Amino acid sequence: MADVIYDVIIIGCGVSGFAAAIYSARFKLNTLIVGKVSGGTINNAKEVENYPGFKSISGIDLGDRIRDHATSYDITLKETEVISVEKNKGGFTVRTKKEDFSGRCLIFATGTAHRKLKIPGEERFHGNGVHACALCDGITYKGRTVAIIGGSDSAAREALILSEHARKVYIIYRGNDIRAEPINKKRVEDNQKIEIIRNTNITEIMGKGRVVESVMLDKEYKGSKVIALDGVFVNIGHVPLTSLTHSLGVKLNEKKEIMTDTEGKTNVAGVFAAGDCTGFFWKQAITGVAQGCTAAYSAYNFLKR
Amino acid sequence: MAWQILVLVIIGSIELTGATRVITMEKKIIIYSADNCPWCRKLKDFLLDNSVEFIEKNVNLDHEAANEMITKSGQQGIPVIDIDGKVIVGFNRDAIEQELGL
Repeated sequence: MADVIYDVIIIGCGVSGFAAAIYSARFKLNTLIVGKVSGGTINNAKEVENYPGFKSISGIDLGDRIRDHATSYDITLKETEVISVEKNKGGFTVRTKKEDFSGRCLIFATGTAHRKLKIPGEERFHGNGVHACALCDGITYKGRTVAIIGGSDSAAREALILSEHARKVYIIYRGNDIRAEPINKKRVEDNQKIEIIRNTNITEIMGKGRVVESVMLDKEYKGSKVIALDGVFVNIGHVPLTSLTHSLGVKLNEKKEIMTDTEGKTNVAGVFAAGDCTGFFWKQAITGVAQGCTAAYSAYNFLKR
Repeated sequence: MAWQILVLVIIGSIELTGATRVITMEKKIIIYSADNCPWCRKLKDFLLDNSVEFIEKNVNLDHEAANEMITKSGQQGIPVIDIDGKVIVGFNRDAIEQELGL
């Protein structure tokens, strides 16, 4: 059993979690932040151009700076995966593979994971022609043909990264027009390597052995349903990582995101949430950070009652 | 490169209740990475923070290394770490710590 009882345990060490940790530390709460790897999904962003104070900064640099800011205070950071959470007499127990921690209240800042296509070939070629991070794996497609699946701003940015390496980049999107920020949409439209296939889904990823060779579309494009390519990058949104909350009875919305009020409180006393794992409608680093600081303030108010 | 050079000494230290325990072991560690790969940087930072020595192969610059990585791991994603033949894809901190006994 844990010796120390933390005032606050923050689960998830992305930017929302670290923002919560900064405020929690400044409220002089005994703070633990625990999560798989610092930075979280911001690490996958090549450049962040909309975080105030930084005209342009890589995602990993921004994440590291926020982490270093947080750890300059008297907090405890444990980079390990949380496997379960449960209520105990005075608060909550947070279990990892290595050790257990006890806390008086919790802030969930567990973020999201990439949503999968769930089509034939996706699992077979995972990591070997099917990827989720252009910045991580795009480099291996130098001079080759790839496709981004999705039409969000994130998908547009991923397509731009891939165009630095690949010979040809398709954006295959089920909608009529990609939903990128206008500044990124213009960059995509001006990029000669990128071609957008609209109103189209992919239904199968095909290949031989361990090599992707083509994808099947649900309608013809330029006279064929088959597009020859070497790699597929899936960017069709995210799923919230909220399964740890089940044991506590935390209310989730229809997307399985944590429901909070404007103060970051959940329906369970002493349990708060922040960032992409919540139902907040716009998922940005800046909004996640704001939610983190809000949740920490609510935790502080909860503890001082 | 002489094979012996690949046998690296890993010295990690863990502070336990004020005392310092030094873990010493011999393992051959190779990582496959590329420039501007964020999770490669996370992996390298982790190894350096734990005073773990490693050989780095850049799969973007070294085609042979890229093929070697694909053969070992059965996939193209980076980073990949090979700890004495145990191949771990991505930066899986818990799995790497377990393999290194950290």
